[in-house]
Amino acid sequence: MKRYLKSSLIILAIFLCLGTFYLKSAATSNPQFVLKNLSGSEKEANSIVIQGYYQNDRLMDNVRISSKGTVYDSSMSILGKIDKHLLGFGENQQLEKEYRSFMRGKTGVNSFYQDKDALIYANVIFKHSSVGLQDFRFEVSSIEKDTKAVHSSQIQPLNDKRYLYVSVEDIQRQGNSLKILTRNVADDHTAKAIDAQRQELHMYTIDLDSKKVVDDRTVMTASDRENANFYMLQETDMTQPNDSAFYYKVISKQSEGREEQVDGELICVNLKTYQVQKVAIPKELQENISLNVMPYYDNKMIYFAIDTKEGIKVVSFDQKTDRVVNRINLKFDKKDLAERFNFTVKNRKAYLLTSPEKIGQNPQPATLSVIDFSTGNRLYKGVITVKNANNQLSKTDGFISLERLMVE
Amino acid sequence: MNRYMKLVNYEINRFFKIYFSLLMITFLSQIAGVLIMSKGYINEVNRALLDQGYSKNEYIQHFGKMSFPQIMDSLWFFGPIGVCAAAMIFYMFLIWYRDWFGKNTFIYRLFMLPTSRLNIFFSKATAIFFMVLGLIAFQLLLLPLQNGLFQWIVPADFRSLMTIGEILCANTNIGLIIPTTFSEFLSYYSIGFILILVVFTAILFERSYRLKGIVLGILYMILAGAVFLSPILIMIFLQSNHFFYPLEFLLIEIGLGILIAFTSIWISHYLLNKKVTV
Repeated sequence: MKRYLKSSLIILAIFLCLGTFYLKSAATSNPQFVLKNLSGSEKEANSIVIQGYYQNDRLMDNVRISSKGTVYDSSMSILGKIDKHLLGFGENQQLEKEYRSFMRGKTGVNSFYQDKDALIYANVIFKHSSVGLQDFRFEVSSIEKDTKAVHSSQIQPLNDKRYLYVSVEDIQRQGNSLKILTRNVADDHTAKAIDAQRQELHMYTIDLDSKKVVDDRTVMTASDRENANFYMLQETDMTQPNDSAFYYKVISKQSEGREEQVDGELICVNLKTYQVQKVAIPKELQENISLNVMPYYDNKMIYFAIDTKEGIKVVSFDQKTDRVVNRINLKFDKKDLAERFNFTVKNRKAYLLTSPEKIGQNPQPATLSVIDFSTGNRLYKGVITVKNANNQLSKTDGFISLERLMVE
Repeated sequence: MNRYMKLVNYEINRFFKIYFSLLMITFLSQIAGVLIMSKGYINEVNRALLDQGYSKNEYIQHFGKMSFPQIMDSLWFFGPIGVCAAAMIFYMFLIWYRDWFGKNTFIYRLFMLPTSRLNIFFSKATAIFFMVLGLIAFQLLLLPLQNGLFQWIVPADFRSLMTIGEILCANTNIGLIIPTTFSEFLSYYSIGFILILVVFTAILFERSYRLKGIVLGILYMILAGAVFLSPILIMIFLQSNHFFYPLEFLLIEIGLGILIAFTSIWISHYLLNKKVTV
């Protein structure tokens, strides 16, 4: 038996050490956060996922908190990790279920359009050239919902002007033409700085019969020279038919190394008439739009969330009549007001998350509220806390910061 | 089965002296690393507090606390792991060639054993695999010891408290050797085992066809690599990194892995029985 001593020792060590390690780490060593219901219906919180990161000294780990509990990237199985690499944020899960074969290789929320007849996808394909700038073409695919017939084609833009980058912001079908709204980034040679860029918002019109670009218009520009940029307002459902897209154009100023907003305006781009119009929003809204908490658009109204001294004010604004429809004031206790603030709209409900910078090291929890726009009632209020009793991580220096609020 | 176990045991015994030295090198170097780096940090803190007149809080604000992953980044810690890895890769070749070029052509006796020649092939692969896992187990045994030593030397105010799991996450290099989840561990080390089989097949190509065999062996390794990576190559070629759905991708890779493993075993079986020369 002595002959087998060394081999047995090695095998025993493997099973004991690796066994204990993986059994113990399966129970997760990172702190577990939970969504605790304070008032309202627990059901409202079921679709909410909050993304953030966990940090302890040099360790950075992404984390997702939902009503089911906490999932760290490091504790994700190999399939979970492949998922993350291949699916990104997984925004199109519903479409992937329904049109598995059509959706293969297609990503990005902004590239899809869907009505009762068809699902259409449009994207930009780059060709790298020797000078570094890129030629591009449009890739357009569609699937008819009743016959399941798929059409795909690659379409050249009208001229071969080169850009540093082109990305699709939205696509819409109108009758027999497809409108593609893109952000085209080009070098700005008129500016002093060598790396200055110019952003152009283009609207390409593609005739779906002849598969040709029939029109290319620049509807908005912004350049680094004037410290300007524009950002699209998030839509609650990017794929739905829509006549207009909304943009927030910002002019900023560099002061003491920090960017400061000087001026901003809300702009409506009409995809039918090509009109670009400033939206007349009340001053209180105009002055308080923050790039971190952008307004939402749901095809009927624009929703704003504004951080005020007393709490958070949620405003719905009807852009067709230029009138504020309702204002909901959410009074927070002093202890609830927090350093970070996230806002999302879905199904005419507002989701608000306020949180301290470092959850776990700070006794104050993150607060989550769901509000019904039509009644103004708070449907849910909950807090995010550490699972253990005293609400402190205490054991280590680790903390969590929340960055993104999603409703699935 | 019994013969196979005996052969594995035999292969492990044959390498045990060097293997034990590798463990000792790791132990001594890593413990020395913890001692030297922790003491060095304490001396630095003392100098700053006494000579330069920093207060405790000022020092921590300026220079930060010390944490165990800092030690792991040093050569004291990573050097021996590198040495062990290099030694195991080297031994993947030596485990075959020592039988041909040793004092007496030992392979002759091995081949004469009344057992399938494939058993020799498997026992060598298993021996290497167990010894690699043994090194991992040893590292897992050492980590809590080292962390304890570190906490004992550096006062609590000057160090970040981290659990062993967090320490392993914080260092991406060690995350490759000791992944944090069991499913990843299984996938990484299955790939490792298949790699051993592929390299062994290449060695047997060389032993069978000599110079021509070297070319064949290298070609076989490239082919196996290309087949295994083909889903990724397809995605790069199509410029669409979302071409496969996740579960599909995982199943294809598992299938390809099994395919490569069985092809290697089948080729080795053929070479060992028909082509190999002593």
